[in-house]
Amino acid sequence: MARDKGLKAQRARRPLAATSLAAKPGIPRALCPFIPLSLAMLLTFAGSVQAQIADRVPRELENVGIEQKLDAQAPLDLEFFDENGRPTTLRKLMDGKPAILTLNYYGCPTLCGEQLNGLLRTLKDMSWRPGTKFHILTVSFDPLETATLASAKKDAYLGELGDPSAAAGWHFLTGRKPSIEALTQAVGFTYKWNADQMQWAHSAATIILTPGGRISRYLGGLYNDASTMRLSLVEASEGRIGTLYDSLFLWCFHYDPDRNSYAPVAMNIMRLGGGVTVAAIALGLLSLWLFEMRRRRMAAALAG
Amino acid sequence: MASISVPGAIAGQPARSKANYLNASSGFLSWAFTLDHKRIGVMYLVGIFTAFLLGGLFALLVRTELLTPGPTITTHDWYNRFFTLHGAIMVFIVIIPGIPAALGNFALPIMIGAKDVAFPRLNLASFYMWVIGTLFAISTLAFGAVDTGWTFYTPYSTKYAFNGMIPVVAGAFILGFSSIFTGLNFIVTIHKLRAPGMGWFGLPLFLWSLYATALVQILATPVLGITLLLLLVERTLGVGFFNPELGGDPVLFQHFFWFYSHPAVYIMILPAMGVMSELISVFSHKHIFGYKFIAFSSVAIALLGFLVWGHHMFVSGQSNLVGMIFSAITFTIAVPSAIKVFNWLATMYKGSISLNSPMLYALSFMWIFGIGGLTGLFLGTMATDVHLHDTYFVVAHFHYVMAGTIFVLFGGIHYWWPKMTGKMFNEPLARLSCLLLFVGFNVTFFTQFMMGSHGMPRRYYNYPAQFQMYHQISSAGSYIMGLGVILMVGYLLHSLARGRKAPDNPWGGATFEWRTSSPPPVENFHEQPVVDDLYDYEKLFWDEQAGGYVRREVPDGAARPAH
Repeated sequence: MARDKGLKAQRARRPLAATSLAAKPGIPRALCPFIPLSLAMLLTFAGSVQAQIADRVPRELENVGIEQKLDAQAPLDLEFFDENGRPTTLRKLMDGKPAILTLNYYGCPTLCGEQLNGLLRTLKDMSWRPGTKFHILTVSFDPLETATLASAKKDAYLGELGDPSAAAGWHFLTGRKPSIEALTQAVGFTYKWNADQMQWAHSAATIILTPGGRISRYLGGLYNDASTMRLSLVEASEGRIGTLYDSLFLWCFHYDPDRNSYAPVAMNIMRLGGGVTVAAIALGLLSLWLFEMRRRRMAAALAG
Repeated sequence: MASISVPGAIAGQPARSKANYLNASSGFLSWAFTLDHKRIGVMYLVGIFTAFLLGGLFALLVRTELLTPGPTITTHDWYNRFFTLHGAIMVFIVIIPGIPAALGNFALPIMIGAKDVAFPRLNLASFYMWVIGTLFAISTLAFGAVDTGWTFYTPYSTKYAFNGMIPVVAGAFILGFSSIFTGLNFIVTIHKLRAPGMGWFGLPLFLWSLYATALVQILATPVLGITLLLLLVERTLGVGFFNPELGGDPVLFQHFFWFYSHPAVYIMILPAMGVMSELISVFSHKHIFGYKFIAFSSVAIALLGFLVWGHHMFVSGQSNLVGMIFSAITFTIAVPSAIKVFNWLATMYKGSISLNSPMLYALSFMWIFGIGGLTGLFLGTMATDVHLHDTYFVVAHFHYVMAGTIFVLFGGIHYWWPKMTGKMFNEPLARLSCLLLFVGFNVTFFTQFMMGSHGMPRRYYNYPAQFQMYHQISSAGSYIMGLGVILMVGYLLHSLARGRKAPDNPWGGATFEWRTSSPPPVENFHEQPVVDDLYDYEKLFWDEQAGGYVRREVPDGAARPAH
């Protein structure tokens, strides 16, 4: 598959530019007395300078990250390739179910492996399997990666999961640059090639999509507990999956991004308690009134 | 007393067994496991009165501390704990359950001609929940006590307050269940166990008020329960409901708290108003004026009471529009309250008023509640509330309202004492005690209106010298009240040992409890009383021989003799 051949040029390691002070033409001698003074000033302001350095994002990570675009529409009709190299779309794969979207690349030596291992751990803790209630879309954002690589990755993870039935629900995809860029831009995922380290600089995001492809939730961290994942999927499914208990729970608990889990909502807990109380009293009083009316009718009948 | 009237003669006094609910069985266990509503009512009364003495002791400590600016008898930390315990005990343990649980439990089934409440075991359970809740709340003293004030405002209560917070909040939570169970029991009892022929408009007005109160108890108390549970979860597990640092909202706590605690004021006041209707009518020896208006005004107060909690939060940052709406609804509550007061006045008008001690307490309530209600207008008006908020004006106002309930509780205790114990108390001492309480109360709290309007903030341990005179007068008033309470305890206890035997109907009441013996038999009546107008005093005559009132048919053309 001859895709994006030009991109290979990016990967050519470029030599570092020579930047040593000694190599530069000589410093004018007249400035020499100012050097100790400048050093003294530097020491004086070292504290503030250090603080500025600490606050600054490393150059390698500039323009890398995730901008949350909650409720934005993910483009589901872009062309990607499944593990067998067959063209497909996210919409076809999702099959009207909510989905977990992860953006990785299969040659990633660090973060992607950790993230997918975390997802695997979550799946092992969950009673639901991919394909039944939801799908997992693992999309490589490296346009040079091939379906062979994706297939190998899928075999490895499904083997680890120990459930062959999940093959129909966890999709490892590759794609061309325009599709990848359209998808990553839509979900707010920015990444860039680090030529020094020959790696993609990127962050990890687990994105939950509704059956219609809207972004319902960004789950932070490399591992999410099973209940958080389950509730996120129930929430994203708009009532199509999950039990009544799940829906009730979601009414009282909302996702707290600071803690990366579901936290209780005082107001809704109170509403639920109030509603149950009022309903119980209404039922109780109604039955009392009905009983009393029946007693009165019977007494009247006996008297008559 | 038999309910079948015998023309021209004292109502039949058939040979009765001397057994009554007090002497039918004896021993600690016979009381501890009793299912008799009268015994449970008496146990509530003893417990609530004991808690009242403890709460009163804390009040005296607070007033003594405030005799001088700065330290007088204790440190600022302990001062905070004293007023918190005073407030929590008086509100949650004494006033809220006071009339319904103690007097209501005793009187309600008898007043509808029933043998007991609908769920006697639930009744006993609610008493023990009250005991456990009270023990929890008082045990806070062993855990460093609580210094938040009885409102438990967050995040102070969840983050900073002493360790006693957990037991006191758990205690209030358990007390809430006791309150719900009592309310539930009363509703079912009134629905299902009324004597044959007793319709809703044949109910004594005390029971209308207990019914309305029970509805509020069941509807509002779960809100407090959930709020306190959330507070406990936040304090123990660090889940952020109310603490902004954890993503919570402290104002939400205030909304929840007052959504219960304002209706709680009506849980306190409504039963008191019910007792008032009985007292005013009986001691004026005149049919109650505007029965249906009084009955429906109880329900109206109960419903409106749910819509006004926001007037506690005018300065919490809520919008002016919301404040205005809450202010307007607050004013509307004055209408059903005034209906009651005017009906009581109309009942007294041209009545044959006996100034016995229960009536003196009733009249005291009218004075005190009148001032409490009218000063509520200043606090219900946004503009003046901003100036008076959290000053002693507020302290005085709510004492005038809530302690009004205590006056009626005392009135009710004196009214039903002969029925409960079978003994008469020393009436002159009772009048003196009422006078001491009335004078002491007004000296204590009227002064506080004055210092509050001059800007003295509530709850402060220290104060500028210009307020010292007010504080000293206020403290002197509290000592007079203390004297009145000690006197009351003295003559009531004395009456148990040496009191004159009570007649069946010492005051001339027409409701069912005055048609049975004093104290009543275990199943309340020797014969099922016949339902008639429970505010008709035309058939009641003073009988020297019996030492009380008896029922006779009025001979044709005979003038009704007055006592």
